[in-house]
Amino acid sequence: MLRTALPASSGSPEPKVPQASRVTRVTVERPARFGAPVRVRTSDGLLAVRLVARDGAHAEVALLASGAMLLGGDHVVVIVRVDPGCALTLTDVGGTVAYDGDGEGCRWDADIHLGPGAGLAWAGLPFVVAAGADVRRTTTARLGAGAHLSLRETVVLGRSGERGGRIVVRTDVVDDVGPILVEELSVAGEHPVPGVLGGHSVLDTVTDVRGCPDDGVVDPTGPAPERTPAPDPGDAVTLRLERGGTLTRWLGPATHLSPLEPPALAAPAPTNPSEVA
Amino acid sequence: MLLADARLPSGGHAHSASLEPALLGGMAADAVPAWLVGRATTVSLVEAGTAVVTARLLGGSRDGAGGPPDGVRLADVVRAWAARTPAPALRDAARLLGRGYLRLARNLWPDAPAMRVLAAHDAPHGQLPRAVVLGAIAAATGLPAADTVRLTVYDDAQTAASALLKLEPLDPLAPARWVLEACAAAEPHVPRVASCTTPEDIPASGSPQTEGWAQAHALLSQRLFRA
Repeated sequence: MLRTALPASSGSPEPKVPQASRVTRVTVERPARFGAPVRVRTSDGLLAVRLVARDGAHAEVALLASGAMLLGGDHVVVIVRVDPGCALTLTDVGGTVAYDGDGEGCRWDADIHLGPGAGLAWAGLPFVVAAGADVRRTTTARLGAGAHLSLRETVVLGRSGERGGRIVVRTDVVDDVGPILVEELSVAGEHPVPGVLGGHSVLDTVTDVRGCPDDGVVDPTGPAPERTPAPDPGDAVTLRLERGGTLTRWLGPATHLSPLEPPALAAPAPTNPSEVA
Repeated sequence: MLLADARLPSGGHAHSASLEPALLGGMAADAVPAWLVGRATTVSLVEAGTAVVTARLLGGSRDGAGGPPDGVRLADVVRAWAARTPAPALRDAARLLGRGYLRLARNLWPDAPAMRVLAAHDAPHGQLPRAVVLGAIAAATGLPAADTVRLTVYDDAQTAASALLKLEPLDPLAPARWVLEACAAAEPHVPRVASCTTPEDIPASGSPQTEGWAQAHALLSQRLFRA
């Protein structure tokens, strides 16, 4: 279910919603019979989908641009569904550049549903906000009981030599109990704000969260919740969220200096999905 | 409403509203005015929205906007606030402040229903954050929602400004002007934040650099302020 996002802060007017949005869809379903690989259903939008590998519980899928993007008026929509007990690794084939839209905004919306015990690791590549771009980028995730979401999101203000355009980065992660992480970052390369990003142009974030188990007992087949213990890598900071899970963040001048590692699912998904359901 | 201020002994002189962490984290002192404006338009609005929704929930709304839907409980407001406050150091600091504000508020308005609800919630669920207690004070005093927003923003900016004089030598009149400028920068956001009725409506405007500084500061042994 798509949750309604708050309007962008009034300092950053909502980008015009483009008329035509083509939806990229990835759905991982349980095998038709025991021993068969998971079923992967896809449809291409502005991002095209390529199945890389799959087995009885896990699929790996790559997303790649199907044309020049993101231009003014573009609206990328990515819908990801992972069935109970299944796991999906999503990779980006290339980074994304949001170009100068000449006054017209663009949008990038990801909508994620993970069933009970499902897993998603999304190793996003840098999302570059060129000078003149005006982007609203949202990630909305609903986690079933015991589901595991690990997500890297790297936002870069400006290409080489640019200070970069405007972007609102909205993240909503909820489970059956309620919100786990709600964040809306509004930044503009031309107007750096001390305390928000300061003078940094790279906002690199790895979010690692789990849905609350229905019975309050941690799934014994899952990895321990504190699998990435302190110390923080390099000068990154790990924030432990109130409801569990972490947000590890690094601010800096260039993506290649970031100490963050791409996310991975810590352990194979449960091999007996019928128990989860 | 200047009673609701982290400078009071009940809130402690122990809080700098993230200013000391910022300065120790490397922010230049001449960036303080821009930092105050940034704060007033990001994290202060999360706090303000939380206070507004709390006030509506506790029945203090007298501006006709109505309360939250049935079934919304104080725990939902706290959860919404916590999901929008990812840094544990900032959540801890807000709860310490909340405890001080609550002591003061229960002393001043011992019979207000809003205070009874808070006290009943506090015991089983742990300390309530500053913004929720501010919301209860708004409910107890009938403060309009827009003024609740302004109060929350002002409280935060003034706490930082007061701390600044202890951290950096400067003309004490300068921060007074910066506080006014920060409050003015928040003014365009006041109607939107004042119209929040549900926990989902609460702004989620984060401030990653401040959050990082807060975590680093919490580990320091040589510091003047708690947060």
